[in-house]
Amino acid sequence: MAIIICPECGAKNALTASRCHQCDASLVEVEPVQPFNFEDSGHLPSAEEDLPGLLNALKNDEETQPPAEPDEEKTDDVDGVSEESVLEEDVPEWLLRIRQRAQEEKDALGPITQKISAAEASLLEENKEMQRQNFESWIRQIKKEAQDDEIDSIDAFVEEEMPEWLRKIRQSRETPETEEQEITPEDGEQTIPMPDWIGTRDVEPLNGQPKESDAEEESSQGLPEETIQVSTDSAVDEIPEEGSGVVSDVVQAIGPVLAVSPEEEIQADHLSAAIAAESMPKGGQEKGQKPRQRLQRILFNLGLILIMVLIAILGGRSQPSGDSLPPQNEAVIEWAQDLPASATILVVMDAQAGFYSEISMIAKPVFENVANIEREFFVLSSTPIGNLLFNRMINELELDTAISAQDLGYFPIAAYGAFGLGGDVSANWRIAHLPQSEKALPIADYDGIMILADSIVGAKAWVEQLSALMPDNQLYLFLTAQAGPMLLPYWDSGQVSGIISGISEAAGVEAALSQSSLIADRWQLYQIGIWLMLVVLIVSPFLVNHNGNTTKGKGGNEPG
Amino acid sequence: MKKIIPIIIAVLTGLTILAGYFFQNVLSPVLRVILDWFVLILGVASLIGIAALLRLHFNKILSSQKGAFYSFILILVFLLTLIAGFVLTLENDLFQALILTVEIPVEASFLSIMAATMLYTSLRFVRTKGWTPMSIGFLVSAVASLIFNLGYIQAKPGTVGAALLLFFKRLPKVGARGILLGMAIGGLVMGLRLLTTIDRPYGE
Repeated sequence: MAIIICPECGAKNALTASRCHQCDASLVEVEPVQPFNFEDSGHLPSAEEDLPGLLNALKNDEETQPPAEPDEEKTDDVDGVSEESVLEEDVPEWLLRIRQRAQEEKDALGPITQKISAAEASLLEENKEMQRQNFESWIRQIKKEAQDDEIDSIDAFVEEEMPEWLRKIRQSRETPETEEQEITPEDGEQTIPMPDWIGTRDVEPLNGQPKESDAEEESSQGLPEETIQVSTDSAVDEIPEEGSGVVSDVVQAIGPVLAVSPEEEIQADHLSAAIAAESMPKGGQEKGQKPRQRLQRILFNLGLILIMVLIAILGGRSQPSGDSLPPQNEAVIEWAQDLPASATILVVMDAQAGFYSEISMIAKPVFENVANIEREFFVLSSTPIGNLLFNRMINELELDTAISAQDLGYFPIAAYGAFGLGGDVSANWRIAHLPQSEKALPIADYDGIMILADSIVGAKAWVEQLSALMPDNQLYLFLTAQAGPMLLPYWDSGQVSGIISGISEAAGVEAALSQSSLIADRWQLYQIGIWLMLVVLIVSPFLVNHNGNTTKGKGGNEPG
Repeated sequence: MKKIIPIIIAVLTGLTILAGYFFQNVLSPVLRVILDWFVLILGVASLIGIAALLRLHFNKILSSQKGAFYSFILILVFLLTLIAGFVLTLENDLFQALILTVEIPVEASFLSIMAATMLYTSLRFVRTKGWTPMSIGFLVSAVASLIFNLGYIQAKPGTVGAALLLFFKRLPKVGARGILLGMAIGGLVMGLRLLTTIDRPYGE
């Protein structure tokens, strides 16, 4: 029965097959051949059309016959008569001519013969590839077995040396260690699979270095080249320090603790989206920022500045009235006006230098009323530059006579300063052999404590500590606009006796105390700035929407 | 023993400070000592931090890394300030003026940049999220806060307008109170966890 030999791989196919069952190559134009067997046929083919069948039969014979032993070949050579020479005697003359011609002229081979030769070469390559794969699989299996043995030995070691805390952690986790750690077969490094929401990055080994390929991949994605170190709160922090090898072994054995709540996952998603949006090249940056857009932005900003200047110059003066002040402002004014002549006042400076302009404007109207030579001031700072700022503020008041101000020092953390101030009420009571402070905080009931703060954290610490430890003292807060709203509840609760926050309230206090209009002028400029900010806030989202740039999470042109 | 000693120190210190709120007269000398030690340790830690920073920048200069020039400027200015502080002392008016003249404008510039960045970020927030209830709520609250802060809206006391104005002005206070309560409860729980050694940030 005729068969079709695949020209690509040499596989035998049925006569009706249109594609090779081995390699799926097309067999449409391939002519069928008769299976040839030397034993069954009593004669050799005489025409060149039968050559493929002949070669195929020869190939089959080579596959069925066992390879010749080298010793036998050597023996033949030694005898002086090679096997080839013996075979050549039996080869007919026409075949010898064909072989000779094929050796001399490559083109003498027919296309079918060439295809068969290619198929034989392909088969040879395939066999080699299979052998290589089998070898690699074998090697991989050996490595895995060796690593399993190593992990078992580490586990046994850890079990022996495991402290009680680690045993509890493992018991609470109730997951097999083998599921928590993956060991790559190639290099044996431990990689920690991360959840999908973090991305496609694997966590690097805790004691290892990031792979170069990973770093390259990150840089190609525009992500920062940094590795994620999983902080195992309950595990790594509590690992004993003795023996770094033990530590690394334990870390490898127990794996990381990464408990992620759904809220954290959502936050991380938002963060990763924001990072990706920031990392994406913006349209304007890609094209070198079109000059027209840049010009528009410059004109827009110049227009804003021009409007601000024109309103400041041409606009009327609308002085804030001191009649309808908030009650917390009125309380401060009453305190400043009713203060005894020889009062002691503690000033707490909890403001950074960047807020000096605002905080000094807020506090100056009151200082101008309370600062005189008869009153004693104590200055305590919870910012390094606090005392210097106080001195500058007092100097800018341009008082006729210098006031008495005693520097009580700098406390790095507001809570400790407040605790030290409020808790130190019995300096005469000493404990033997304990060192004593050279510079004690004053023990006094102040006529008022003025806290100048620019953030809620520092002011909150002072208020909470002093209102608990020194309940008889009155606290007055002078706050920047950003800190004021958050600290208003302390006024409602009665923990503070008065608050002035922001330049808007300071302008009202200034008007109520009938002083200069310096703050009112500044407040007008602030108002213009706020109006412009409002315009930008309201208009920009609509402009961006109109241009169709409000795709979620995508980079686009900057608004405005 | 290596694990127990830090636990004992931390718990004893915490309990002593806590007791100081209730027995001020008795414990004030001990509290003062604890406070002194704290300030001393913090000062030493600051020195170590400065040394580490200098070492980092020295290494940057020696290895000619990117930004080595800025490291050089940093070290130079640090040394100049240090020498000026030792020579002139902190009480010197010139030294104080030098510090304030540099620090106030630099920090104020940084804060103004931050304000502009926050405005841009808020717009970007709207652009990234699109028109969602969250972004609309954010924009409305920001605009309303700014308008109220302007001080133009006034109402006659005792009228409905005054009540409405008071209501809107109290809204941020309600939110602030919630945040402060959350912070207080969080601090309380954290303190209890430290005192009961559930959390041990000081290590073992």
